[in-house]
Parts: sequence; C-alpha cells; structure tokens
Amino acid sequence: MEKEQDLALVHKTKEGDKDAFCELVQKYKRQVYFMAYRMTNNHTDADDLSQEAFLKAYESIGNFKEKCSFSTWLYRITVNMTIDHLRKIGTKQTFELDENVSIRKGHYVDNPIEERELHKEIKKAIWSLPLEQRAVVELSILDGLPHREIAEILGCPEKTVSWRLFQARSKLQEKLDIYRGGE
Amino acid sequence: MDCQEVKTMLSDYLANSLKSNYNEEIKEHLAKCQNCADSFKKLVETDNIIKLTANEEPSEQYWNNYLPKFKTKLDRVSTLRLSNPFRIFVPKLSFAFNGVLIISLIIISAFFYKNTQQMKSLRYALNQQKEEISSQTTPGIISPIIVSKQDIEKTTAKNVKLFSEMEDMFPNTIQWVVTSDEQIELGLSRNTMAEKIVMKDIKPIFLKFNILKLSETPEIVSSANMMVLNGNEVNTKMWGLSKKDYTPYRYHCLPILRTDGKIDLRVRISLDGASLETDITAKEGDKIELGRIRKDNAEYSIYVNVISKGVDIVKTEDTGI
Repeated sequence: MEKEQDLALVHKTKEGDKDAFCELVQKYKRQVYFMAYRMTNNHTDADDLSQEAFLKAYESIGNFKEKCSFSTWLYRITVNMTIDHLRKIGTKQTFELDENVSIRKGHYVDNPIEERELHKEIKKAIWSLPLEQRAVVELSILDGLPHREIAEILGCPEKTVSWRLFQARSKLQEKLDIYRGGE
Repeated sequence: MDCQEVKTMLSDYLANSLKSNYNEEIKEHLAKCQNCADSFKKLVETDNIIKLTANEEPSEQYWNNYLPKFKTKLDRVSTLRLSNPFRIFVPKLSFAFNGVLIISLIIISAFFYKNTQQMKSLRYALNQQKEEISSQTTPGIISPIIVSKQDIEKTTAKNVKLFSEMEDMFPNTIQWVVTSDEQIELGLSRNTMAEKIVMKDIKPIFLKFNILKLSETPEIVSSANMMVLNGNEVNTKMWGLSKKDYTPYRYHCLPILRTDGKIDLRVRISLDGASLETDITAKEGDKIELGRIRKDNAEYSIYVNVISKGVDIVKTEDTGI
C-alpha cells in the first residue's frame, strides 16, 4: 500500500508535479538525513547530502524504472553520494557529538557527560569498520532493513550483506565489549 | 546443526533474514544450549549499544525548515530532466511562433533520423560487448566502453535518452554515461559505487588485478581496495571476495604513459586492514606480481595484468551531412 502511494506520487512527479515530490521529501527526510548523518557523523554534511540526494532523485526520476520501491532507489542514491563524499574527505574525522545535534533521553547511562563519551566510543568503533561494512551496520542494525533490500541498495548479493554484517558484528562486539551489561 | 554452524548464523537470525526452517532449528538449539544462548545474548546487547546512536537528533526547528529549504533549492532547478520522450510541451502562443516551432521540430527530426543509423551500429556493437562482458566478467566488475564522438551528441537530453536505452540493454549494470569533446564513456557495473571520470585525449588502460590465496585456510577477505596513486585518480573499488581462491578484478585507470610506451604505476592494495604499496613499470600485456599480503593466517599474492588500451568499439564514417 505504502509502495503504491509512493509510486502514485512518483508518477505525478514525472508529470511535472513538484508538490507530489515534496510529499515524498516530507515522508523520507528523516531516513535520508539519518542515513547520511550516521555515516558522516556531521550534521552539516548530512544536511547537504540529504538535500542533494533529494534533488538528484528529482532530476533523475525519469530514469527510475520502478523495478524496486522508491525508498530503495532513494536510499541507493543517498548511500552512493555519502560514500563518494566520504572517499573525498578521506579519513579525517571527529567523533565528538555535533553541536547541532542533541541526544534524546537515553536510559543506558544517567550522566550526560558519560553518555556523550559512550556515543563517541560507539562511533569510533563503527568508524573503524571498512566503509561497506559500516553501510551494512547502518542499514541493518539502525534502519532495520531486510538483507534483500540492503542488497538492492548496495548492489551486491544478499550473501555478501550477510557476511559483511557478520564480520562487522564480530568486530563491534569485541570493541564494545566493556559497555555490555550496562542496562 | 552444531554450535559452530549456529554461531555463524546468529547474525542473520537476529536480523530475521533466515529461512523459516533454519529459524526454527536455531530457536530450538538456543533453548537447549547455554553457550550459544550466551553468544546470542552478546550479539543482542552489542546491537542495543549501537542503537544508542539512533538517539541523536537535530532540533525540531531543523525539521520544520527542511522542506522549505528544499523547495527553495528545487525552484532553482529550472527544468526537470525526464527520460520520457513522449512528454511534449506545446505552448499556446501566436501562430507565427507555432510555425517556427514546427520548422524547428522538422530540423530536429532530420537530425535524429541521421543519428538513428549510428545508434543502430552502436547498439549492435554494445550487444557484442554485452555478450563478451557476461561471459568473461563476474558481477561487480567495471568495464568502461569508449565510443567516438560522432556517434552521439553530448547534449543532456541525448545523454538521458542514451542512458535510458543503455539501461534497457544492460539492466542494472549501467552506472554512468559521460561525454567529453573526444569521447563518451559508459560505466558498466553492478556495483553502484562506481565513479566517473572524463579525460580528454587520453585513452584508459585496463588493469586486471588478481588475488591468489596461497594457503588453504578458512579466512575470507571482506573487502579489497585498489588504488593507482600516480595516475589521474579514477576510482577505488571495494568488494567482497568470495570463497573462491581466485578473484579477478578489472580496474579502470589513467596512468602516465612514458615515451617508450610503458607505464609507471604506484599501486596500493588493501585487503581489509592489511595493505601493500609498490612501484612497477609495465607495458601492455604484462602480468606482474605486485607482492604478497599476509592477513590473519592466510597469504595472498597480488598480480596485475595490463590488459589493453581503451578501444573505440564504434567507428563510423563522417558523412559530412
């Protein structure tokens, strides 16, 4: 049903209805922003990348063949743009919490300073993974997407997704072991 | 199913990506095996820690401004580039204007008719190439094709049309179409991480990297990264190596050609964390061992094969029309 609604908006966009596309932006802005934010750990970059991803989707919507869902296609554009961006900036990275972003009420630790430190350590651990494993962690663990859809987004077989996730989890488990059992 | 098998499947089990019969087997196993149940608990706890980062959130004001900001950007996009060739805009203007429009359409039609023949030869050549690609390459390999300028104009509308036609011929493989004054490049890849490059007057060289696993150990490399450091940076590529010992990889790069026809390459190869950087001088047809990389208990030998220079697959006569 949701896919059909999206496709109806896509068809309207293809006919030149900008408002229809804006409805899609409104619907997917959070997912697209967070995908870019969690991979870049930078609010400004995530804002730019997500807006550019929507613009690119709008400009190339004529090429969207509807073989997959609109959201998958949009994710694919966002992931590719983010990976391109990350390759350009290289390995320079800060793990401090971006000043434009705050932490919603968490239950893991009570102390806000400790909480920020914990977030920093988690990001460090995720950042230490190879880029494609990081993308799988983002799409699977944080966005909860099924392997089939992740495979479509990343353009690789499902087994590769499965293997990358297995490897990423093993590494993260080792790095984050000291924080387990905090709940 | 033994504990070792179960442990390798726990990640998929947690992601709910296993077939239902496996799901049941693992569920039953976890109920009776404390060791595996503990491993599963660790996985869940690690996931929960990672999910804490999902609590980071920009302000409400940011979200309120998101769409207006996008609309402003969207308004700057003057024309919507659509690949649908049947979308025709008919202005309701004066008779004279419509007359000019019709004449223009006739001229454009004549232009397109001329190019139809060229498109046919291009399609034939690409079909030939397609067969070659399917038989010789594995998924995820970039195989750029160079097409001479006469075949296709470089206008955006034409590129979109070309892109659309190419995509129909190579489902899920066309990643980019780029034109320069001298040539058009088509990027064929199933991997969406392919990047693009436009270079004038330089023909690309294809390097085929071979990774040969020397020892019989169960370790598998999850990612490999090849980079030519002294060429014009073209693309880096990562992919998962399968259990096969021998995985070919074709790299599209533009290294510096020497006057004696040889190329100097400085190459960096990374297999997961382990990397190797080396300088070589090679000529077309050479197959050279770049070095060996040891990762965990396995040793990998890396070869590079300089396959060929870029090939013009379509050569049409300029009819002078």
